[in-house]
Amino acid sequence: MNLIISSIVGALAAGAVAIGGVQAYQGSTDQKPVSDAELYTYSSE
Amino acid sequence: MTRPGRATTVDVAWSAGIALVVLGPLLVGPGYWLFGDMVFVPHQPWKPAWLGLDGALPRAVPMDALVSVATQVVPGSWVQRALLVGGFVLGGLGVARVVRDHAWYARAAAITLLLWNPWVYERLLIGQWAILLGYLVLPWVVLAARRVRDDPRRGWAQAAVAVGVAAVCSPSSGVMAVVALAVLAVTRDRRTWLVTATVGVAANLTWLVPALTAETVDVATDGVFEGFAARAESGAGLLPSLLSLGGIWKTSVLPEARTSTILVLLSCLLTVAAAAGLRRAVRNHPGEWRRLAALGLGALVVAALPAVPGGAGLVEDLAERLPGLALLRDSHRFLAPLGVVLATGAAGAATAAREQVRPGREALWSVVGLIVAAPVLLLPVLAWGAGGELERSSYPREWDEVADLLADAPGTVVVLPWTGSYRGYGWNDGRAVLDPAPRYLPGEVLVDDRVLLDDQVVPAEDPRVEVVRRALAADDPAEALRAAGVRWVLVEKGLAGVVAVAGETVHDGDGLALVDLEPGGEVSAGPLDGGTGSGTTVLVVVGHALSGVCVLLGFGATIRRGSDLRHVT
Repeated sequence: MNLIISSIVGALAAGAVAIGGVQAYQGSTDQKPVSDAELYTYSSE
Repeated sequence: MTRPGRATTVDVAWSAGIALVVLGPLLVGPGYWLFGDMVFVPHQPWKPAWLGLDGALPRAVPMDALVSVATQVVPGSWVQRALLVGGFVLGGLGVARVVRDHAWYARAAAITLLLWNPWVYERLLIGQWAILLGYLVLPWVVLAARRVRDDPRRGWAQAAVAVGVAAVCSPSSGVMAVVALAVLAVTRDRRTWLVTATVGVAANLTWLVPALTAETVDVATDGVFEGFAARAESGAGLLPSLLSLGGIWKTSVLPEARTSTILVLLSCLLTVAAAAGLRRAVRNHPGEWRRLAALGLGALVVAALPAVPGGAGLVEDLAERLPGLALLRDSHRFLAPLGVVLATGAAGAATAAREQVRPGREALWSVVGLIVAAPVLLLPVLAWGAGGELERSSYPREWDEVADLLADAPGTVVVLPWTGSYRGYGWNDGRAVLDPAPRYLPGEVLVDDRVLLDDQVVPAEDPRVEVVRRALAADDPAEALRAAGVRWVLVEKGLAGVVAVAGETVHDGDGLALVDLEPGGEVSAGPLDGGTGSGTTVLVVVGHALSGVCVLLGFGATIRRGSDLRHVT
């Protein structure tokens, strides 16, 4: 039982870290410099 | 069982640790975090507007007044640090007190989920620090409601403090606190109704009176609910986003992790665990889990309403009849109570997992650990100022020089470019930030407060903005501005859309130019003169006084009777 529990917990944690890491590596937020058009538009994009 | 003093130390240490990890970049050097709506200045001069005495909609009343007073004593950068770190620590301590009869790891689970979730990330990235502080007050509202239920005659004091502090943070925080108090505190005992109603109204008078007496307000509702509606972050759809405390309308601030369907669904697993643990979390307070569940569900419905088909139109129709509902246009912020409910439930989930540990199942301890760490694993980018994105900046020296010039020769200032109120200064690495001029400079400082959405412009709430727009479009903008009562034009250089205005340039720096219009002709006492009538002023001041007295009396009574800070049941 311990092995099963550990495997599930480990898989969940490792999966979250791996997916989050890949996603974070691929992109970022708009706190970086923005163009005037983006700046003045209270935009969702 | 952990001793009370030691438990408090553990909770404070855990909360402070999370605060340091999240806010670290702000704390390790000089400067400010300036992005979105987060604007602090070295010394914020006092203005009647900070108390809502300018007739405009009280968006930051009375928080601006308190920040202004504080920055007369300590630099604004210290105030910013104190508010953010203090808010995190007190918020964490508050939710730990809500689940105080649980072991340290369960309280740690509650603290972690409260302080580390997509709602916190998204509100921080959008710069809404006051809304964030209002959210961190909510656990104390839960505690206050518990006291009111147990003994209305004594519980009013904590309720007054908690709701009062929330109302200071922002009007929407005050409303959330009152609704939370009502859902959690009201019983068949009429005294609980009386306490909730009295405290709810009195504590919120500080912004309610300025809002009701504002003379120059025209709140637009046309299309704004749809523009600011919560959104699906990933392919999983809207509901999983909201259930996992994400879904802000401004999708550009989303961490990449939230665009992953798998991660959002994994986050929902944490939500399910927390919801399942809610009853266990507050087992010693009969019936409270139902109230908390109702509060969380209500928050979810309010957040989702403008985003569901027909929802935006419905709220828009209602807001045309009840202007106060315009408050709901950024409905995602009202998801905040769900964060507190889930954080509470996380403690119950951790405790329930621990109770299943027995010989042969020792690995269930890892489930406990996973519940504690899951918020961080699911959103690691919140660490260290959004993964280093949030860097500190310092104002150029010329901002002080312009402030000194305006202090010596007061007059209404118009800030150009007249194209929305967000700026991307080079010295701030081009990050979009609310123009600091109204807070940095003395006197009446007007910026364009129209809200520019992707495909529409939400009209300005302040008619004075429209007067300035027409003046700038005139053949002779300088003459038109003088006729409107404007003496100064501040040009923020390096930004597009600046209209040339003739006048005497008294400051011409790298980033700012200050133009005096007075040498070109007489500046009239025009329609831009802000302020309220004497009757309204008295009403507003009385409102602030009543709110202040309510909070101070509550604070005094709370101190005398013993505080939740002492971890005493």
